[in-house]
Amino acid sequence: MRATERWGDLVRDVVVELSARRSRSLLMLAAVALSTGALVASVGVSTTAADQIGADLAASTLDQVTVSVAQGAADADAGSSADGSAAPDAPAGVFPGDAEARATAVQGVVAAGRRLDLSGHGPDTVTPAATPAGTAEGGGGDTDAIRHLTVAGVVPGYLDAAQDTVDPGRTWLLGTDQTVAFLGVDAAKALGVPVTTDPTGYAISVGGTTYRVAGFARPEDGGADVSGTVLLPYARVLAAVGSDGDTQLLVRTAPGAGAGVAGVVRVAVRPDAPERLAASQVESLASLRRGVSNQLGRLGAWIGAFLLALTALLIANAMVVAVVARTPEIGLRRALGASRPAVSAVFWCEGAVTGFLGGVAGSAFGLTATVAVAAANDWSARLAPWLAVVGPVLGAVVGIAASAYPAWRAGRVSPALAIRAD
Amino acid sequence: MTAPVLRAAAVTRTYAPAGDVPPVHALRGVDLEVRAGERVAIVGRSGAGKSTLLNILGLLDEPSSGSYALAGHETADVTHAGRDALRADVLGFVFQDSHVLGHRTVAENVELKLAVARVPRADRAALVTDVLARVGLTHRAGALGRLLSGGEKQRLAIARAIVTQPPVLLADEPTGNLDGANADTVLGLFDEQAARGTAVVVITHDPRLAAWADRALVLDAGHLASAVAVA
Repeated sequence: MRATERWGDLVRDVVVELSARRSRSLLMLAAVALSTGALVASVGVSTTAADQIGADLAASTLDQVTVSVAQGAADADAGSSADGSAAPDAPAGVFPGDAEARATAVQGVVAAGRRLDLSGHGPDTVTPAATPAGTAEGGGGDTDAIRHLTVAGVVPGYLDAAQDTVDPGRTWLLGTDQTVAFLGVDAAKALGVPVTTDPTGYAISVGGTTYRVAGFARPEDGGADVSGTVLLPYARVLAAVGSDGDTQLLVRTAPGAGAGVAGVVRVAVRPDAPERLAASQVESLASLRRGVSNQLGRLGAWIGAFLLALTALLIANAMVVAVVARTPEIGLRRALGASRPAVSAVFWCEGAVTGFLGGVAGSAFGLTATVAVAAANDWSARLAPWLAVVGPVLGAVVGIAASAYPAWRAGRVSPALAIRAD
Repeated sequence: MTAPVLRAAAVTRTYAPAGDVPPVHALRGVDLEVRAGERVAIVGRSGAGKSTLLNILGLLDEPSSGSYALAGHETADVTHAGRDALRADVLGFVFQDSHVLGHRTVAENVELKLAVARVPRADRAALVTDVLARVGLTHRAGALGRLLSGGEKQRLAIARAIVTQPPVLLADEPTGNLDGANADTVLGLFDEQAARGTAVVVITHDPRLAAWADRALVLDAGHLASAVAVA
């Protein structure tokens, strides 16, 4: 017999055998397909997730740059301003008076503005000071909430850079040294000032100085949260603090221009001493962290889903094989008087128990592996309590689902034929 | 005369395969009555329809036509669940291949029948002990089924079949794989059951069983050709 004929016989044998047990062949095929698919998908999904994480990272640094005083630079030339003049009554400054104009002159910059927080620099206690005569809404305020308020001095450009707004459109007041204040919504509530279009008559005291409430601050779409903030003119806060060492220049750029602007804005603002400034591109670490965490979570969930489906197929396949191998036993049980549901129940339960015990072992292994990997990499392992429960529950559910077809098949075995099967 | 515990009238069974294969008439109008305590042997050549008749008598298969009543129940009127219950409560089976579950002990093999018949758990131990004593397997109660000899396996199968004291005991070639001594032991156990009122129907091509039975019926090409009172 020639080799080709032998191969032909072999192929015919394989086709006959695979065709004779179609459901088992299909289950095996599906299991292999799923396992290879899981491998391909995990690589593809990982790559996609990595790209998405990269995009998230890029997006988070896309359009905002923060310029602050470099460490040690605040005291370097105390008493002189950025342009070199030494006005005796001018506050010490790393940032020039026209820092915003210099920053917005950089290509790609949309808006810029300075902010200096009063908190931690001296008397910053905020209290309600006055209400319109005869107005019932005025009151002593919420002392607890007041303690958590932030007092910050800003220039008008800061609101544009932070994408906040004040109403009724009196932003320019922040560029003066008038004793005016703009309240965030929560700050207003804490101070007992009703948020209206006309806050005439309301005043607050900050560190003993009375400020007239000129309006209220709100974030625009995507704007920084100012709800718990009291905004004062930058000049007033700078005079109170005495130094702009903690001032931050917030620069909003066109989308994607953040990296480029960060590289040149220091030179634009302080061409004589750019080393006295530091530029940072990360605007919100919290949202960046959330984004990365979400992407990684989705990646893990998809891979887990593939593996679960694979597990279900493997269990189903093994149980179909078991049904075939135990056909004489099934016939015996039926001959003894067991009903079809009773025979099916045996396989349902076997699937559930297999799945549950597998889930227990899987949870234990997974938790141990997580701790071991964390220890090996000097990470802090983070284990949620529900992880210990999800394995057995999911395992039982998968086991029961995977047993559905084998159990149905076992119940349909003809006892007359089964009892003679060997 | 008491009513027959097992009554088949004009029972036929035809298998109609798909395609151009002609139908197979395995049973052609079989009449059979067996009373309590009676020992009946049904003999015939291979292909005569003996297994088909046993399957119908044992409610493992349904006749194509005719009627079959078991313990007063007309089986055509019984649901699938009812047929399962009849097999559990009324019938005991002994097959040529003992179908002992090798991974279970002797006692567990017997208890399987009690579990299927829903005998209360508290009553099972005593029943198992009693029946193992009757078949001479008390000393092997804890042994795994796969470790038994051929004769022991067949005695275990008998124990499993009679533990619930069924009114009807069906045996398919019960001595086919046994030597003479073991075969005699099996027949002795069948005699005991018959003495207790169980109707014993044995399918066989062994002439010794035909001689042992009270009646020997010959099945030939689907016809129950003759009925001969032996004892």
